[in-house]
Amino acid sequence: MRRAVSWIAALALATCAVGCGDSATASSGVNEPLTVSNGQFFAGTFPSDQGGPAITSTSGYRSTIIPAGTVAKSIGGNAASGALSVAVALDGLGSGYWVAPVGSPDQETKGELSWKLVLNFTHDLPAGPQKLLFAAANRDGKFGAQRVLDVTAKPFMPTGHVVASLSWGNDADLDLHLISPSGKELDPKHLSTTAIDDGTMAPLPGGGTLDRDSLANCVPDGRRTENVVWESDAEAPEAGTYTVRVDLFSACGRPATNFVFDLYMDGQAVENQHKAGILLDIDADNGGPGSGLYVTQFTL
Amino acid sequence: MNRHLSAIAMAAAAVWSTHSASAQTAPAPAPVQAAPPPVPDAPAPPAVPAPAASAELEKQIAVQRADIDEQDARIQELEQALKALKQAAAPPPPPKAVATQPAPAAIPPLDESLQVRGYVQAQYESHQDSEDQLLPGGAPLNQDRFVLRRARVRLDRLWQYGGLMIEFDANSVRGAAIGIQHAEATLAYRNPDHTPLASLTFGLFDNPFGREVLESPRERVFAERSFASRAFFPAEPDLGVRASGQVAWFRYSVAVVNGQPLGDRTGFILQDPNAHKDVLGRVGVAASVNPAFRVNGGVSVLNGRGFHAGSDATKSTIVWRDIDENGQFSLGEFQGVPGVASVASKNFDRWLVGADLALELDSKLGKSLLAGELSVGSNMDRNVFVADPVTTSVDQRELGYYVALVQEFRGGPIAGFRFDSYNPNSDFLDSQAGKLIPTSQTVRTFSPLVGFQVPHRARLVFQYDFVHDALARDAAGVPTDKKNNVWTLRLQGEL
Repeated sequence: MRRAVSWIAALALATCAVGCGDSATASSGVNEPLTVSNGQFFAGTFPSDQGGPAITSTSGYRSTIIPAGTVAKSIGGNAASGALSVAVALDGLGSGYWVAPVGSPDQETKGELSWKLVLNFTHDLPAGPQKLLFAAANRDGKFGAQRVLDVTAKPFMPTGHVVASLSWGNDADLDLHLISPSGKELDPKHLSTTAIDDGTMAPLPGGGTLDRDSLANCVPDGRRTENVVWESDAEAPEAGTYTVRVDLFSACGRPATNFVFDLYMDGQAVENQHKAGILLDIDADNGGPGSGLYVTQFTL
Repeated sequence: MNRHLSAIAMAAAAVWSTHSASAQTAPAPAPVQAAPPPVPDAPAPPAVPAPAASAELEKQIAVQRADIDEQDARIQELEQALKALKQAAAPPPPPKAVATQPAPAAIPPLDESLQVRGYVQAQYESHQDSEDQLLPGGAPLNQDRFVLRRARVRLDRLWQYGGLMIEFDANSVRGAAIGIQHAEATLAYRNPDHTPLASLTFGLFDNPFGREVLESPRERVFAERSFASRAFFPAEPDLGVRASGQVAWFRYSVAVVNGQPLGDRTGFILQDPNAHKDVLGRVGVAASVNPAFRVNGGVSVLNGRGFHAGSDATKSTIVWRDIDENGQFSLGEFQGVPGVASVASKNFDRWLVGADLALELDSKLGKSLLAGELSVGSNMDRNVFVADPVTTSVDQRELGYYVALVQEFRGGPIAGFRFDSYNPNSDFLDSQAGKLIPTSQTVRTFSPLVGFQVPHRARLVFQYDFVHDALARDAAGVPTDKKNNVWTLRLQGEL
């Protein structure tokens, strides 16, 4: 037995000598507010200027307004000669930065290398002004000076004077139903809380509008959210008490679906209007006026 | 005189055998009746005259009588000494152990009864790259988990000219799954020791290539086959026909199979999208140099044809691209995508050659195994870096090998170490600073293990895999090692 233990100890030491070593971080970075398609995530602070090559330009984007949840936003540019990679991060957000290799030499500039990053932003990206930081690195891993791109993040939740929001936790087809003080019922087939004007075929003023039918026909859209929005610049909402119902149109194979309802006034959540519930697959009823589970009432 | 000499010889032999017998072995009894040995070289008595002869004869008789008396006394002494030695040193002989010579090992008759065997391999495994997230499509990214790796039941039945084997497998690797692992119907012509001299097998059987693919997971100490072996053969079995057998130390096996084995990642598990069959085989030796040292080795080849799936025809569609990134529809953001015709599927050639060698030694330490295998192929990766030369227009050249050392100590402890290396594409080029640089994609794994086993009953093994690859990128964007080591704690129980 003593001989066996000696062998095993020697084996462990020899293995660690050849097998242990530095490796790149294991995290995929999917929890970060910013992810980069085909990029490598590194935990830590964004590298400072270490005398490496510079980012000479940023281009390739149409807008500096970034709605939370944006996917595949391309930003490119050029880097000075000697660059092998470009790093990017949101200043002050997240726990690290992303690195991706540069592309081919730019034909219009002498010696510069083009680069292009495909960026994805999470749903909970904080609204307001943000800074995207870029830096290039050479073969030794030395980074050059940071280049800053100012952007404005828009919240995932729509902005408006009043927002009634339903969100749920899996890929079931839930619908938000809202019955107005005048008795008009909003649902995915009736997109406003007010009646339609016979002449203009547009909703009468003072109504809230449904922004989307999420997961219609059980097709995942990555949102799982439906909102009724009274825009800030619209006329005052129809006064009175509104009734909120949540309908499970189709369970889409899920045994149960948890949901929450929230009411926002000018961007602030209304106290006592945060309601949670659950619907079982046996509650699925293919919708229609009057269907759904009663959740709450609120008064405007 | 001669009879007395024989008795002396017998007594001496008995004393010697008593001394040389081991504690566990009863001394071989003396022959019940020993024929007097002939004395061909004894000189014939000379012819002498009668009176003188009489006196001479009496003199000789007197001398011989004196000799006999002396010899009788010595025999009595020896018999007493022999008796004392037997009482002091040797255990009493078993009552019915009367065989005078070791009998030759008799070959038992062929066991034609139904054999039911099985084993369970359940484990906890931990991966450095686990995360509490889902991969696109819903597969869990977390791999820190308990896994039922294999739960197998096997039915065997042999008869003089054939056999049947069916094996079922249950596992939880990708969720609960139960399926067939082997199904073999065999015709055989047997050697006297019942091993097949020649056999023909139809069904689902292990691909006869190399050493690892043919080694039962029940016997293998390491948790899984080497990385290269898993890339070439996602699972061991495939459907086809096989001719195999053995003559003394010579082994041969040739098979024709579909070429889409179990676990195939190209989308056609146990089906065959092309009519061409893969031909593969192994010839080798399995010999005992002496009772404590065995050699097993061989060479293998595979020649086949892979399949690149085409695509269906599509209808015309309209897509919206938010070009100005304002989240609103604009007329210029609608694009028509015209339908396209289908793309035909294509075949491509693939091949693999390999050599393997295993040395086994029984010693005071226990059983030692040193094994290695080398494989070189083209377009053979069907599991990890799946080969597709139709798309790339370049054949993918692969190289894989491993060296493994396993020591099974007496009393149960096990220690082992395996180094394996797999280069999935010897011609890989990585784009760095706008230039295509030859870059190695080689994956090297250092796998030490320790464990304890009760032979044919249970085995507990802890294995750590240090994985060195080029799947991550460093700060300069150059491929580097990804932190994705794995450890496994596995308990195997056998039926």
